[in-house]
Amino acid sequence: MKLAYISLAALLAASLPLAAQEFDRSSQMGPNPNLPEPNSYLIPPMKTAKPVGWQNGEMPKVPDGFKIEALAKDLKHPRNLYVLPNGDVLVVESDGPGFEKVKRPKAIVMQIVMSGVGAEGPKPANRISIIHDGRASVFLEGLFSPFGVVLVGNDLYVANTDSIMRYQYHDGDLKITDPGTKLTDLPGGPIDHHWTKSLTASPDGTKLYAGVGSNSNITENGIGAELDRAQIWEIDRATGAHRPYATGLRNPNGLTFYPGSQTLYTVVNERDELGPNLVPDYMTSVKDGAFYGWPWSYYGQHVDPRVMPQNPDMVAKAVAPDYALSSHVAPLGLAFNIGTQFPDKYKGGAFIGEHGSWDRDEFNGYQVGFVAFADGKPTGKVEPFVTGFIDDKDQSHGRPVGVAFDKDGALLIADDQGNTVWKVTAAK
Amino acid sequence: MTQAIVEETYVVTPAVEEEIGPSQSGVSFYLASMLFGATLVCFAGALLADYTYLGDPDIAWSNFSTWLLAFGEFFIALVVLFGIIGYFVYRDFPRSASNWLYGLFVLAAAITGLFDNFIHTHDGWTSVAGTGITLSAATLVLLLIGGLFKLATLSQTYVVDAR
Repeated sequence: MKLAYISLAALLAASLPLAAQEFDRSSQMGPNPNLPEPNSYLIPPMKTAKPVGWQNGEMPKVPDGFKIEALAKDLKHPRNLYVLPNGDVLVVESDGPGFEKVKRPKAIVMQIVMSGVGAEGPKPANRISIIHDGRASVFLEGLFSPFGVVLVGNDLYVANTDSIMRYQYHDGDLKITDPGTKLTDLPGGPIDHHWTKSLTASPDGTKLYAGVGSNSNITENGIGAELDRAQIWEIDRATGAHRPYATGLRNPNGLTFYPGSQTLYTVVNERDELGPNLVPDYMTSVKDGAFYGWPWSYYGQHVDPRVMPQNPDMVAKAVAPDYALSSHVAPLGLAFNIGTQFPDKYKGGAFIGEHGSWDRDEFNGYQVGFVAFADGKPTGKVEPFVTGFIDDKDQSHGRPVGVAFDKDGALLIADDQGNTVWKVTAAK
Repeated sequence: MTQAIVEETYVVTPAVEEEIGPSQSGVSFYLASMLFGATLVCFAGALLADYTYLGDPDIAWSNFSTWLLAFGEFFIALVVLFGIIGYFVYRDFPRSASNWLYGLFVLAAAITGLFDNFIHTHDGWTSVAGTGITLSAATLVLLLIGGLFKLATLSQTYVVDAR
């Protein structure tokens, strides 16, 4: 009976309107984010933007001293970018495999909530296009929800959602007809909740690193579905053998070695439905063998009450990530600025494609954020760099995903809802 | 023969309202009873699934519970809806205190059941432990009490026509 009283009191408290004071989002940017108490709402606060596309020359906004233009338009759901050594740009046009079946009534409701925020226009193509001399053409077809791409020598690796494929690429190739060779399987269906497999190679080119996201928000598909997931895999390029390089990373994307270092960086989408300001997504250097908490805890030893049985041994091992980006921004792309085109302030800094929130009553993300680096470490707060993806009428024109720097040091942004690749240059 | 039953009814429960509208047919009454039975089965099943989940936190049990709660809520919404329609349509609709109490408890169960559905949309352990299973139990108890008041109402007002 006491349990009932406590529970009902909690229920009432949870259904009261939010406290009037604004939450300072910047308090969740940096190495020691402010973490409020977890909340379980009767209905979690949600807000999604109506996609309207870019009309009549509308464009995202950039800071003074920069210029933005469309590098390629009318693509089919461009998700990720990879710049080849000769300056040609690969555009991964992709979407999830759609394996996830309705397992409980909530899934039906979530489908309705999310149905309004998909891409405008054409169906995703499961292919890679190449932008050469300002013109896009089909580069590689027949892929299966591809996301990550990396070139090592003449070996071009593409991470489908369920495998890493290797293709022969030679400088100047504009089309690949090679059927490809499978290097290794990756965890794909039957659920494949987080399906984007980010990919990069070690600086010496002997190893590949693949981000394998979890199969659920917080193990609601059963812990058995999480085998080999929520990890960054290290894959031997010669044999295809793999080992978990780091674990407990709910949905790691944007795998990139910090230029000139042996340090792997990733941006991670943290868990939902603990409140609008919990848990902050993050960017972190990835320590070999480290466990980052998911599912049992977040930001080190903050135990998630939703996971039963608990795992105190693993929680004791959990390390906190380096740098919080604030909650539910959905970082999916990461690129470091090594070029000389942008002003000095941006040198060596991180540019992060923040796809944007749904699990909040106010939008967060929907921008390319900038985090300055000093001595090889992130510093200061996240600065909005490319904005204007959402407007004050709660409409979204586009959503940024993958980011990359081209050969001339311009920033490229894949906009999967606006079906555009944007190019940001420093105005002379 | 139907007329005879209706007269019998009004002898026991004097109607205050005007005697207008049709009397409830046996088919209608039986269908309404089935809806209440379906509601009862769903919420009882949900409570059992919740209880099992606490002992064995396998996601299958909480999934069972969410579906049973969803269908339970659907059926109880129909019970409430048809109850309201019956009140306005049937001239032999029982208007005794016990039937009002039945309606009150069913309505309360519909509300706790709705909250329970929302709590069960959460992911993982806290969708069941604590508030979730408490609401499942509360809903079932309210339904059972409501059912007893219905039986009390029927024992006062309805005559079974054996023919």
